[in-house]
Amino acid sequence: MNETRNTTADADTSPPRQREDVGRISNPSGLHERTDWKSVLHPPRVPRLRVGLMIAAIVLAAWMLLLPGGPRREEAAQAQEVKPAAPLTELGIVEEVRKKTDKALDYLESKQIKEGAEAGSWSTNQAFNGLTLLAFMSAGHVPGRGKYGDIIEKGVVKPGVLTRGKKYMLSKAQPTGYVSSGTMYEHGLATLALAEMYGMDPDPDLEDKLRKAIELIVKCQSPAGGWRYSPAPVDQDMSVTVMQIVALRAANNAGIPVPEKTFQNAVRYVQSCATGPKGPGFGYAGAGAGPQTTPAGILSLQLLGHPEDERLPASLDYLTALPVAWPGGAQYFFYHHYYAIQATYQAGGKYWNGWHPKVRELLLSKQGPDGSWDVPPGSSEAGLVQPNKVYPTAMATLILNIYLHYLPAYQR
Amino acid sequence: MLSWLLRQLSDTEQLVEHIDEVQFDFQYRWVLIVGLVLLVPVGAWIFLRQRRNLATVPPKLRITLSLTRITILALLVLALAGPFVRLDHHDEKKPVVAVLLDHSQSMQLPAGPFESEAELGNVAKAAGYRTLDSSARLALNRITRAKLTHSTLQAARPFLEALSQRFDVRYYSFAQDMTRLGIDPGHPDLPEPPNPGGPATDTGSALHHAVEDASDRDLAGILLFSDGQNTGGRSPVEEARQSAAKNAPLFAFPVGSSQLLQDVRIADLFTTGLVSVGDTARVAVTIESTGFDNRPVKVELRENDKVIDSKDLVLRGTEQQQLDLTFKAEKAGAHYLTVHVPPQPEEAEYLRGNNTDIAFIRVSEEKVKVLYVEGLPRWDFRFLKNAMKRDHGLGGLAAKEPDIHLEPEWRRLAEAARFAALPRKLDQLAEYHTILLGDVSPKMLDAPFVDLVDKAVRERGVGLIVAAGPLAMPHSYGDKLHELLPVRLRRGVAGRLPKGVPSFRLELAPEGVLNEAMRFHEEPGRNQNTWANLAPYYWCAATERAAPAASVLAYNPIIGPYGKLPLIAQHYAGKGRVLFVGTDETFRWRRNVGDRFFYTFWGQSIRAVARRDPKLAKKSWVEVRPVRCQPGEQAQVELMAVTPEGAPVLAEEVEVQVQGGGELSRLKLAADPAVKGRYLGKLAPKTPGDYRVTYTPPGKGEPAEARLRVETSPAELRQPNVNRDALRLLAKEGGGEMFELHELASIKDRLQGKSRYLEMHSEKTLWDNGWLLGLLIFLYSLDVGLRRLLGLS
Repeated sequence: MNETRNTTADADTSPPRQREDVGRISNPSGLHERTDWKSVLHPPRVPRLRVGLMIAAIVLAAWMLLLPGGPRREEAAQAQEVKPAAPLTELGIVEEVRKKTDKALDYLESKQIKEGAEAGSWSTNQAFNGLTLLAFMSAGHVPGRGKYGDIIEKGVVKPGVLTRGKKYMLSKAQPTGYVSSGTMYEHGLATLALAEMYGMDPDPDLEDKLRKAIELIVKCQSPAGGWRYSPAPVDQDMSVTVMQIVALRAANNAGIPVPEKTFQNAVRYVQSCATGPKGPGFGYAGAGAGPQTTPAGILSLQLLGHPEDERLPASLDYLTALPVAWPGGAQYFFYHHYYAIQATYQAGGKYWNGWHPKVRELLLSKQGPDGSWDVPPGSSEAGLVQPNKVYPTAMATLILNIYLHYLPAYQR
Repeated sequence: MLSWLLRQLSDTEQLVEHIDEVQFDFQYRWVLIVGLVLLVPVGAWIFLRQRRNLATVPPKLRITLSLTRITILALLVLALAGPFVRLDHHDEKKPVVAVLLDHSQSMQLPAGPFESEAELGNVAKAAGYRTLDSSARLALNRITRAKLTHSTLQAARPFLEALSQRFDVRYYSFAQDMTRLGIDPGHPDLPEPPNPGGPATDTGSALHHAVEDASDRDLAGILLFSDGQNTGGRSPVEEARQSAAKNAPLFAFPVGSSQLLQDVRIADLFTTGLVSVGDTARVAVTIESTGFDNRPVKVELRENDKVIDSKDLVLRGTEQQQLDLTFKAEKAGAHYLTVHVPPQPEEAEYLRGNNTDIAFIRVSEEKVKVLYVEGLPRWDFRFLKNAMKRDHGLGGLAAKEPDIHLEPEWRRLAEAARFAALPRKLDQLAEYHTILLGDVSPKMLDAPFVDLVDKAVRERGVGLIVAAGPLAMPHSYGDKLHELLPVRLRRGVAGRLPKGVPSFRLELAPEGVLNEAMRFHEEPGRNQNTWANLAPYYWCAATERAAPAASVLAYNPIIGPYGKLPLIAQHYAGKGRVLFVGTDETFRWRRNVGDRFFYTFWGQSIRAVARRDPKLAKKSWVEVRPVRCQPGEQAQVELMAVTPEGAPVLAEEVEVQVQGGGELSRLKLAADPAVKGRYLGKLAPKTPGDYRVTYTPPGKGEPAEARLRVETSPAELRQPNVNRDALRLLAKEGGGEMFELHELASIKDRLQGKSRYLEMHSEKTLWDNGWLLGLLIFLYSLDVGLRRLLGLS
């Protein structure tokens, strides 16, 4: 006779159901739960009254909308009153940028070749591969970790984006140290990518090939102190020179020694490309001022340890006076903005404060629904957009991710 | 009486608890009826028989004997009938709706002005005003945010009462802490909001406690009434996500106007904090303004009342503006600087407090000598070594910059050069104040070198920082190094990667809140906030627990075999201090802000563990940190006491004078056993004001002074506007939505939860107990006893 039964039942907050619908499940604790089997097998229908009310509401709404000059229009007008937005905070900026660049990285990841001889690449052009790897690293992704890191499944390591990309790039490095299928543009950007990855990936092959790549850059410096398309110390221009300088600085920052003379000669060459002793601007293959080469020249001197060079203030004024437009401002839109954002960031103050919001807002407004960017209409970079939009997307991501301060190459 | 009887008859406490619902019954009622019916003639027969057989017995005794037998028979009939008690108890545990009311100091700000007619109309409707006449307008433009919440909920009383039919509506008040209001949900009569409000807003903890409090039933939803300004504690976004994970949607109701207040404020202030004599320190100021577009202002940096730098700025309301002011460090010691933006005439009085902020800079005459040995040039290394080189307060043994060695470059040296690269004698190694070991392999840090480091730390007080890594540090090392560490690790395991979670988070431990290495901001709440919002990371060392007597400064909140995993910890090993940093991704702290938090942590850590050299302290100094706190909050007082002759003052304790808050008092500081002349104590002033802590050394020594500003809720007024974006984000992360106050009733159908019905059915027999048996025995014994006494058979 002695018996204690405790029963709990879960029921929704509508009126109680008929008890004969209730089943019972026992559990070891002695508690019995009641389950409303009827509601599980036959979900409750929407009550007729509610359906009728919905139809009546729709009819009434339609009638109100058709009514000319009705109060609804007046309310709509009031709702359009623009209220001043709160000041955009640094955190707000970063959040907004991060969402967009995360989408861009998903796009880039989807375009990486996963299998076959070209597995790990986005293109046969090592510049594009390098820029894309840098784009991932600029968001803080490092080999083996995080969303794009290696995955271990049943004891087998499946390489992630950066690991695959690194393997491809290293596989194409020549015994001379040249990491390019064409020009020194590719070599400079590929070397930069390897330099940034070095230290976060313990692969000894990476260290070895990076050192050789740096030695090649040092060897290929022209007598004038610059670099040009071919890996030979013959000629120079600013557009190639800046890429080698950035790569050398990144490697030096990672502890790989670079002769001081190499840097001194590079300073001399960059200074020679200025319009005059006090700027403004830097030219392509000699003194001058161009929208692409000016930020390249400014950044070069900043990274070479001459942030106070007297050529820079006027050059920065020249740069920041250029229009930020789509299209417009520079023939090579992304090349220009990639160096311009770094140059203004290094300079700081009014140059940075006045420049970055314009660039940010423009780029964010031009992102495609799939996360990619295109090049502006009529841009000279149109030929660089291949079947996929890896180049502009990687560049836009790199430009926007300056806010994150992750990439060592970006540090002040 | 009945409950006592029930306890005696049955040992079931449940029956006693629900005694009002207990029913008595009989299992075999027919036995009872038949037995009782038969008992009448049987009883009569017993009575007549006794009268015949015991004619000589006095009548009273005869009746007694008859009654005992009849009673025994009656009891047997009752027992045979099977008496029992039954309990059928039904209980309904309704799902909970938690109403959280922000009662912090910022909620005492005016809810208005409401300049838009539509918004004013909606607020009036929410607050229960039937008409929007001039007095209503005046009242609404003056009402405080907290009072507006109160009025809204009072006006919504019918809705809340109806809600209480379906839900268990619980009301909570929160600021820095949270308390449940004892309100009858069926008749919700809310008390007036407290004035002044709480000193801080800890929305995250409030959400956490609301979820915990409803752990025994469904949580149908959380209604948050707040101005959205969170100033400390747990991460509100994380807690909102936890709430969403438990299917408890969060509905946020912003309290206050969407109109931005005309205000200029210092949103943020940052200095390096530690510079050397001759350095130029940078004071980075972030200004926010609303309603003053294109207005020129002058931002001033002052020390005492002297303006030492100023910059002109044209205000722009669209986004924050940064500018740098400079301070030339000419004199060693603690410097208390103030950054000030003159209030604009249109700024309301209560908004002028956020035009000023304090910066603290310590100027040192000494260089901290640092040895940094790293494995591969990981990103932490690349940022750290450059920041260390820029830090003029750090140096090497011979060089102006710290001595830095990188293992790949060391490997390329000749054998002899490799050996000579690192100090090999104790005296040489002990010249360093701090040694920083990165993810270096035992090939470079061989056993003899580790022995040397151990001696330098334990015997000479050299500070040690071990920055863990996946390649070697510290899992590839032996006991000597492991025993030095303030943590215990799983041996031989190269670290942890996130499993089952996308990433790791960092949680500041209680001991980390005031720790000098972990201090990003002077306010503890703001410090906690910043640490809670640092970027997630993807690798940590395989720590298991803290070493005995070690202090954990930060955790990885993943639960291991001994609780949360220590991530950053420190302790004393002999005379020296050792700090362990269990992740190699501190570079992620650079997100958005560059070196600001990253190098603040490392720079402070290097100095915090550094060997103290009393000989270098030529005169006494005293410091109070943080330099600003709220009434009742603790501040740490550190004193280096030196005689005029330059010798450390040796005593068990010393006294300092504390002047401020209208009082003069004395505070005792206890001697630091590890450092001669160093004394520590804690101060918790209760009254707002400027405080001075003064130490007068013995003899004719120059007094040393430190300052402390005690302010009520400065963080609460730093951002005076209602933060709708934050509330919208919280609601979204919490699986809910943000609504305006007049839309309160629209959440009715969004609250979903199931009641839990408890049905308790219990039955307990009553005959099988000692009382009935005892009664039977007693009656039988009485019958037999009486017969024996009477000499009857």
